[in-house]
Amino acid sequence: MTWFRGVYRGVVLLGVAVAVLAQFLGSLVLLLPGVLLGWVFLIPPPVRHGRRLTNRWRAMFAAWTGREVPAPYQPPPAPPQPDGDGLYRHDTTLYKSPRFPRFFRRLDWLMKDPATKRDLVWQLWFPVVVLAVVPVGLVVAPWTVRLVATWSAWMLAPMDPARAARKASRGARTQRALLAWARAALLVCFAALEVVLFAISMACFALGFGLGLVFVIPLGISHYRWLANLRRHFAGWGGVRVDRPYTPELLPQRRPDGMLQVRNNLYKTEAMASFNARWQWTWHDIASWRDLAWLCVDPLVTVGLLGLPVAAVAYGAFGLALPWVWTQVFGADWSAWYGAADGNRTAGLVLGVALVAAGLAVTGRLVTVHARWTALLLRPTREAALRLRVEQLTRSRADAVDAQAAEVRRIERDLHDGAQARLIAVGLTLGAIERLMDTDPAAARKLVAQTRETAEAALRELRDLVRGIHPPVLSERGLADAIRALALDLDDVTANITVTGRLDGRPPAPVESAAYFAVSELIANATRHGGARAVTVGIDHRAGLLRVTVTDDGAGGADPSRGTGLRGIERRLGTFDGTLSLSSPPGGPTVATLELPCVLSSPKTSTS
Amino acid sequence: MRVVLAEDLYLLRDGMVLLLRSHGFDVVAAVDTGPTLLAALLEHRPDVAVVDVRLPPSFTDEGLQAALAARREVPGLPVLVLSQHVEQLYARELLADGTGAVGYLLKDRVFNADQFVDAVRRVAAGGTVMDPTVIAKLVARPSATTGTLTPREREVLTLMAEGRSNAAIGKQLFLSDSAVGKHIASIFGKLDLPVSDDDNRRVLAVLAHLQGS
Repeated sequence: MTWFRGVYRGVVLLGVAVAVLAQFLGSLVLLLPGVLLGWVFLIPPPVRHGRRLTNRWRAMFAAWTGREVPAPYQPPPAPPQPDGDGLYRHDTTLYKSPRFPRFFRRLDWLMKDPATKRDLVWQLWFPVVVLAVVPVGLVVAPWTVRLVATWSAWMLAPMDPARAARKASRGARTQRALLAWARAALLVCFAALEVVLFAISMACFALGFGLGLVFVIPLGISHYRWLANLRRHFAGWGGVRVDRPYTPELLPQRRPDGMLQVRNNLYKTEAMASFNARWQWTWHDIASWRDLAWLCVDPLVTVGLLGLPVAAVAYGAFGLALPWVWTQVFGADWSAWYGAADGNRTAGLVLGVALVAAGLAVTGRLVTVHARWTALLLRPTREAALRLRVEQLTRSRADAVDAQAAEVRRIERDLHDGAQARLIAVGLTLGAIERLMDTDPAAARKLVAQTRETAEAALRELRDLVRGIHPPVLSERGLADAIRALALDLDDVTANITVTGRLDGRPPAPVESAAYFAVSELIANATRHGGARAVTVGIDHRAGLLRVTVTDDGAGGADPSRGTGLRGIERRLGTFDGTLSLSSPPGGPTVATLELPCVLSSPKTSTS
Repeated sequence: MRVVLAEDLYLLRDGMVLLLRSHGFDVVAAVDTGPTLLAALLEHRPDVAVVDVRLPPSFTDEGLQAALAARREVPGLPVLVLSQHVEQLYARELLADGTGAVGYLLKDRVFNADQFVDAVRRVAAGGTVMDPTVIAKLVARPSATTGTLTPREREVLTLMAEGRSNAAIGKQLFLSDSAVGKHIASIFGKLDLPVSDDDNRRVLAVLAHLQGS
């Protein structure tokens, strides 16, 4: 590059720097009401027009550096399509007009594009870099101009995919660490609350046993259950499942003579009966006392485990790093305590950043350890776990019996109205034929044909009925082939259903049947409600668990709490201790996984 | 014509033996389990076998498996499979070797003795006979190619896939032979299939095409 051209471009850069600064400040001003006041409809225009201007700079730097600087933006979104009811969907809302979904799509497209952020970063730094480098460079070394141009071209070109992925994963890691820290901070705050609640309990006991105000005693051993339950829930953060261990609430029973009975005591008034019921219920539950022990010890353990990293991050960030910025950049006063280590401000900054990094690095693991501690006292004892299991079994047995009774009633009705009625008709017509055979053979022949049709219809109905009870192909071939046959049979469906995996034996027949009907319902859901075009069913048996996954590319957004179908599947699987888990973000894909504990047997002779 | 029959329900077995004998078939063996069926097929090498899908001792698809095993030993051994229910899956397995001489019918079809006997004869002669419900599902399955057929062509295709000859199709649909021929030529054109005069080859081509889609 000649000296003259360097000087010329340097001058141009100065001009561009002013223009970019104006662009940056302009878009900042235009975006402010959108971002701060939530007037989101003001956001897209400045971003879009800003892109047009940035493309100009892009072309300029491409020409200067001889590099290719393609526009890094994602392609604009497709216009929203109406669904079957003529409504337009965005996320979880349906709109009558396509205007809002179109707007939201454009907003997402503009704001979620990493290139938008990169553009803004470049606009912020470009004037600074130019002002810092170019005036000096113009005189000393014209190549600095080239350096600025190359840097700008690199900033404005699309990011290298590998680098972008690395950046994204780093971002996710940081996000996880920050989340873990926030959770740890919340747990520490709860620890303070626990101290207060424990003090209240102690006060209740003092009043109850000391002054004879016995009615506060049940309160003293149970008023903190909500907090314990919350902590059981939070144990999920550390991947530990803690069930609620409490015995079912004891309620007074009204006797025929009008008295209220609680265990072996009789009461005349409702108030006394329910007070004693509450006392009996809470006092005799071992979980109450374990809860109390936990309430006493947990503040110490929580602060001991999590206090240090929470404090390190908080102090590092707000006590050391932020004051440095405050004093260095904005010229505020500083004290030895804030923003300095041993009287040294730079050391304070370094220490602050180190504290934050160290704190964030360990909190994730400490939250897991803390969840195990929670489980130690708050999970059900062996006895309570058995009791809970019995309760669950009683419930699922009742469900199973109900379901079976309903099924038997349905079969009875189908047989009664269908095949049985048709066989009666066959019998009647045969009688008529017998009579007509000699007198009117032509009419008899016609009736024979009719009888045959009736018999065929009866057979067809029986076949459909059998298929609904237990598909023959399931008993003949097992789960994988039965699902394959089902896929071939769904002729009203345009979805492509593939089945992968195989089993080395057969699960017990009831388990097999439950899995089959669950899968067939999931496939029906995917194709009928989700509009799926491709469904994949994966079958696999490992470690005593039959696992079937149904993945579809439908619209997603399935929610077990809204549909009765998914609930029904869950209940039926529950009879066999099976579970259904569902991942269905709006937009798909939906992955339903059902797991059933069972042992496979090699195919054997049976008389079924 | 020598027939091996496999059916585990005594009443049905007896009834079918009577039916076949009265139509001039020679029932050389009537068996009731999978292993004895395979042995009988390999020993007698019959002109046609009539086999129930579900047989003892396992009461699974033992009859089908025995028939498929026998056809692996004796390629092209004519087998007519009967079942209480039809599955596309089993139809595909029977058709997979592409040699023809297979049939797959619902047991209900024995109600109409003439049609049933006709089906047995067609299979024995190397033809392919599929139950109308199998064909109906195949033809109804929406695909890129069958979507372009007219309703009348669909009817012709269904009958053709069941293994009917041009004359039989014409009789059923009240069409002249030449009209049937025209429809068939149009179907083959639309499905991009090679034209063939041999009924069986024609059926196999149609089925292969439908299954592939």
